Amino acid sequence: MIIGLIAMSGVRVRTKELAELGVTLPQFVSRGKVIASLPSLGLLTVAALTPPGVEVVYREVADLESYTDLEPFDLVGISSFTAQIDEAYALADRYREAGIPVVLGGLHVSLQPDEAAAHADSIVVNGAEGAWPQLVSDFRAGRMRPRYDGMRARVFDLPYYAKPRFDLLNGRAYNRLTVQTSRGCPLRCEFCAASLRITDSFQQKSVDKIVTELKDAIGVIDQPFFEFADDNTFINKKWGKQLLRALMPLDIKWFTETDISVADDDELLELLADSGCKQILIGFESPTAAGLAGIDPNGWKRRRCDCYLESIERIQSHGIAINGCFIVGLDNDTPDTFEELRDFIEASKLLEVQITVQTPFPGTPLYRRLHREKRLLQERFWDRCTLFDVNYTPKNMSVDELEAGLRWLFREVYNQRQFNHRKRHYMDIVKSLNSPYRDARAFASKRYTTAKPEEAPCKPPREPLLN
Amino acid sequence: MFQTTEPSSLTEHQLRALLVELFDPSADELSLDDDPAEFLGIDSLTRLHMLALVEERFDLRLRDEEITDLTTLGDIVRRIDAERARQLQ
Repeated sequence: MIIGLIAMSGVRVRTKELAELGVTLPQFVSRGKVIASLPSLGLLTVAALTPPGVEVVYREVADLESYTDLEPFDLVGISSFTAQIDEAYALADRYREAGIPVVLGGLHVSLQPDEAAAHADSIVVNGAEGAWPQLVSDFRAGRMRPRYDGMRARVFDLPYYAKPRFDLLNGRAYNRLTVQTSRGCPLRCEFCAASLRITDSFQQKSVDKIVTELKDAIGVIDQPFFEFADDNTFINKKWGKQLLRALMPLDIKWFTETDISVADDDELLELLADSGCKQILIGFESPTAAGLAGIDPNGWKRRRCDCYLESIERIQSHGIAINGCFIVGLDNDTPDTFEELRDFIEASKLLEVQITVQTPFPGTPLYRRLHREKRLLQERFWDRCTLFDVNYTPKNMSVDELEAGLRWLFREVYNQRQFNHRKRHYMDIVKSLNSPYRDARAFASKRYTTAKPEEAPCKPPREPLLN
Repeated sequence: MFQTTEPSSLTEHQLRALLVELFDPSADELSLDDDPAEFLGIDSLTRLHMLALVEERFDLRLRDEEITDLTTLGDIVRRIDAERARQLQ
């Protein structure tokens, strides 16, 4: 028996002007390429959860039109994000017409199960842990059910946990691989459509398991750059430090997503740098308290924004570049917001910047609120959930103003001159670190010693995120 | 691309030695037309570290646009040569 696991990959933008603009902007293009080239960790985990004796084949489909010959699998599993879900449904329909049963899973399917069920013989809701082994067993026995609900907790505990099958990537060209260290995020931002929507609480993987997975992946791809596929890695600083100490002997370079509170902890910053962390992605969302009002239920980000600039400098002074993420079209944004954001980004000297438009992904509190307020432009717009297309009526500007503002901001922030300026600043930081060139080989693989920054005068609220 | 003069063999040798020291013995096989980042498979962040080290070792400071425009080994060698010539004046 052979199961084909198919990931719908690639990045989509529907608004024509933005798509055309995007390909001319160097930084926009570079991050897009990185995202598009990541393997599907979810399907590698599904492969690992497949019972022994069943062969698994992993495929990525970036362009449905070029995927003309259906491979003769006994069962097909397809995973997709929201923007590509209609392509996933079309592929599922083709396989089913050819007589090959299809299972659909992933975040979008978990949030829109009834819709997905119309295109599948079975669906997997939540994580595959606790669902997939039973599904395969039932399929072999000829009694596959139409729906399996995976675990929303304890996904990293036995008997549910399975080490992803990185061996399926053997012989393929990947620069970056993903490993998950945690699932969920206690911030619970209104717009977030990430793994917190399929978990009941924040879950951490044991450090031992993470190290084993990384070693496995290193054995498959030569010198990979790792991305931790987390919503917010360093919620728990004590566990985070244990993890970072365990990463040091691996001599890897890596990237993750976390929040600005890492700037509060000098020891954590030093461990980040010494463990090979090259870049962290932080969702700032807006540079103003007004813009951040209502973003997360507890107002945590709003209370932090006065310290954004100092915290950015503090983190980057350790040689850790920040990819700063901002959202435009928030309810308190006005036509003046674009210029304010441009000025903040220039002042911050963030090495990389990611600007997206607020996107009401199905199943999120944001979607429900905008639906309730009758502000959604269409009832169903999944192929436009690209983070760059506008799908709702903003509160303090028109749709046209939001789209025009986004295009203006892209030209202002992503142009080569600004990008070069940010790189120049980062190089100056690198040169300012203590004795950076004594060990040249360490330079190439990780970094050298860390500069001890002075105590930041800005005192952010020290609130635990994890209760 | 910045100067039309031939790159100095001494600078070329020193730069290649630095890249070997930093990354890999294969850097010794870099030609003047090769992009070191592409040839050695280094990511964009490490490329910035590499350029910072070039600045430190050869006592120069790249202009913003040079960070992107200096792509080949020959470009960097010519930029170092130009700086050395300027310092001698």
